[in-house]
Amino acid sequence: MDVFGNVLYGFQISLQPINLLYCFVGVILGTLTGVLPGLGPSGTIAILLPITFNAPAVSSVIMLAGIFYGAQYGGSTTSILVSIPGEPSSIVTCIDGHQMARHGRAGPALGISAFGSFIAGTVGVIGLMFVASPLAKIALKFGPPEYFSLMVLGLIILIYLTQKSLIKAISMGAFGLILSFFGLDIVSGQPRFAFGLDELFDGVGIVPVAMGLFGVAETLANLEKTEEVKIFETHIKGLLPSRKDWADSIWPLIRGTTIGFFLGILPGGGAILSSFVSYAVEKKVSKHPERFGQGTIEGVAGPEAANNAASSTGFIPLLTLGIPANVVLAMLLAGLLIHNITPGPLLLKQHPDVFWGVITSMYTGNVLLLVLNLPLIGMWVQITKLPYRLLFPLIILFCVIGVYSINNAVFDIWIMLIFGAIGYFMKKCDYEPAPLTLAYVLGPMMEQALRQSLIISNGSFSIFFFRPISAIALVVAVFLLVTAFTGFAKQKRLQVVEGE
Amino acid sequence: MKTRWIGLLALSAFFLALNVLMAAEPDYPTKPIEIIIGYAPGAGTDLGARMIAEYAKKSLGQDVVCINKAGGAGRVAMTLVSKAKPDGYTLSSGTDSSIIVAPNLEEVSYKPLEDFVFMNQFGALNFGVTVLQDSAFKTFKDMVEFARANPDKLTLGITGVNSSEHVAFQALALMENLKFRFVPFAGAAPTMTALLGGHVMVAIPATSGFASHVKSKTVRLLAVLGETRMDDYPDAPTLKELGYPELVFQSWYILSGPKKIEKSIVKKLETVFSKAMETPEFMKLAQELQMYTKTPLSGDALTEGILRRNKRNADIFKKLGIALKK
Repeated sequence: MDVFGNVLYGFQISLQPINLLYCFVGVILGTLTGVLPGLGPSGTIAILLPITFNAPAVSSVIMLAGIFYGAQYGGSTTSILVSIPGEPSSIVTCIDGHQMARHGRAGPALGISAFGSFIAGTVGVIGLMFVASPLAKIALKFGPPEYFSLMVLGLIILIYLTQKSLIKAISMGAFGLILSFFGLDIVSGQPRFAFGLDELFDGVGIVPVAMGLFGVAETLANLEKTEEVKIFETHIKGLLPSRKDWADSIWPLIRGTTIGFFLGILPGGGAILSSFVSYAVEKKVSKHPERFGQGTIEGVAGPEAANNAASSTGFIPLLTLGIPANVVLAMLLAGLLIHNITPGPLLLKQHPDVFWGVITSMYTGNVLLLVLNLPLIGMWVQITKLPYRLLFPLIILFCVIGVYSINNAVFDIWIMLIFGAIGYFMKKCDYEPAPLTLAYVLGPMMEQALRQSLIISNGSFSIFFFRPISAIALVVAVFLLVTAFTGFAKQKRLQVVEGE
Repeated sequence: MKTRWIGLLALSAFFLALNVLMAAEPDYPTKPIEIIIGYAPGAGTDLGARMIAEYAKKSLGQDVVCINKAGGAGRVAMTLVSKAKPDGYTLSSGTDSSIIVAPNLEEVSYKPLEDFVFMNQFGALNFGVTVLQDSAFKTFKDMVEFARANPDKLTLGITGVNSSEHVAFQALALMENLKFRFVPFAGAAPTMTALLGGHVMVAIPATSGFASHVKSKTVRLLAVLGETRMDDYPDAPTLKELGYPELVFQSWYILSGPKKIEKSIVKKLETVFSKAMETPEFMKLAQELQMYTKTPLSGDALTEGILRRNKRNADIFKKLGIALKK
């Protein structure tokens, strides 16, 4: 296979002025989408689908793809500045990114997240060119047992690494899982934990919960600290990461990219999971893990690289097998079908212009995003200069409008406020929201994978141990838990966590 | 200092504009309409509804938002819609399996024939019994023989418990005294993913799930569950031909809403949805997914068709001894 020739052919298509224009419009809209909480890329793509009816197939798919990965860029901006994740995959960025902003380092945080995203996105695209079809076949090998075990591992890693008290971390994970079971049973359709409230038939939404735990609780906790105002009033020095920042970030970027690249291929949750895993890994390998959570640049660089690499490789199952990994990619699938293009194994043969044109456009799109985001960082930083008495009401206002706009349901606002209060008390008692949120996101997928696995195995749990990928994931998870609870390792772990 | 106030002003202007945009018009619809799709993204009920929503949005002048609530073979979505306000702003897209199949077999948390108004049919699809291209099952009989020799070993991917294809194969198991292992997924797209990965041996999706995979020769069709063979797959026999005359099942894709929506609104939606199905974009998609029905039903004719098919299912299930004892 002549990859080089194909890439050249692809660039011939994606660099045509009309396609560059569509790409530009796509990434701008995507960034905006990511910055504004509540308005997701799927909503934006839905609004724009009718426009693509009249545009050429390649151009419209290039634009829709631009919205998708542009949103990953934009999502990190609000995470850093106001601790509201614009996209679920940038939840982790809130932890250290926002701390950096509060210590007057919003510029470097935004800068490294833009550069990191660019580098990871580029590597992801290059990898996608070479390994798209062999890797898609590997991703298919992940059946229900592999999914379940991998998600268990992801959760345990997070619990193991980010908490001082293991018990508190596990209880938060369990709380998140229980929350995710609210609503209708995914197999039988019967209501669970609905307490006779019709609104709870649909469960408690992830967006209200996350906005409550991260946005509202953060704001409430900040109200106690009047001295913080000064930090925001001081001049933010340097919008670009310094040489030292780069030296600190380069390995997290490389590791994050690698993690995101491989986890992104898995259908469902790739970008979210990879950002969490990357954060955990960075904290583990760091020489000064005590700085994590205090605003360390590694905690931004790794996860940001991971979620962008993952959103590039998320295209692999869609383009090569016609399997959309999430709602956004499903909308892209609809866009392709309008133009009489069926994604799948035949796509490469029948529409090479679409396949290579779209893939190379993601490269040009990443360049455009970098060029676009660097000057804009200055603009976003202005927002942090707002005094708290204006900023906090604005954040709450954004949250209320954002959360209401999803379902036009007042009930969601109440959920958000309740979880804002819960999050506030969790903060007071040293319970961190991250395991809760990850468990909540993974819960429905874990439940489904668990039930499917047990049906396939006829009720025997051995299925999780007889399949190699699943077995390895579970053994690592058990190992982490056991070492965490035993004496010597416990000391060592506390050292890692507290850095003593 | 100055930029801060300009920023604030811009924000206020933005929210003001938002308010103006949201200000109500006198006639329905005055706010976005939501269509709850009962299955995972990627197959017919999802793509079809999204296409119709696009046209409806232009025609009605309001956003029509599609949301996937997969689970329980569409029963999750139908439960949510049955509890929704009957104001025409919450509708559902799903298959008739949650209306005329599952409720004949188990208790459901809604009244299938009383809680809904059925507006438009946007597909009538055949189910197909599919295996991987290199599967050892060359014919449907091979599969049955394997199941006979290996009780409780054959894994079948289905789109939900007590979905049409699940019931058809439960019936087959009863007739042939076999034991299958049914693995439920959230829709045809994830079911096919599991088949392609070798996690189930057989999948029984409707045409919208298997058409592209059969065309690209990654999966083979062993049989179809229709009344007659399909024009596109003349080599695939019907289960009727193979000696199971009761096992004729079709999947109807239906747009519906809570029962008490005002008549005029129902009429308006029916007309818009019917028009949407005549657009070249929808026809193309329908052809691609092989879900098009030449004369799609709507309104009373659709309700009548559903009642007729419900009666037939109730009779068959009773005969097979699997019907819910009421």
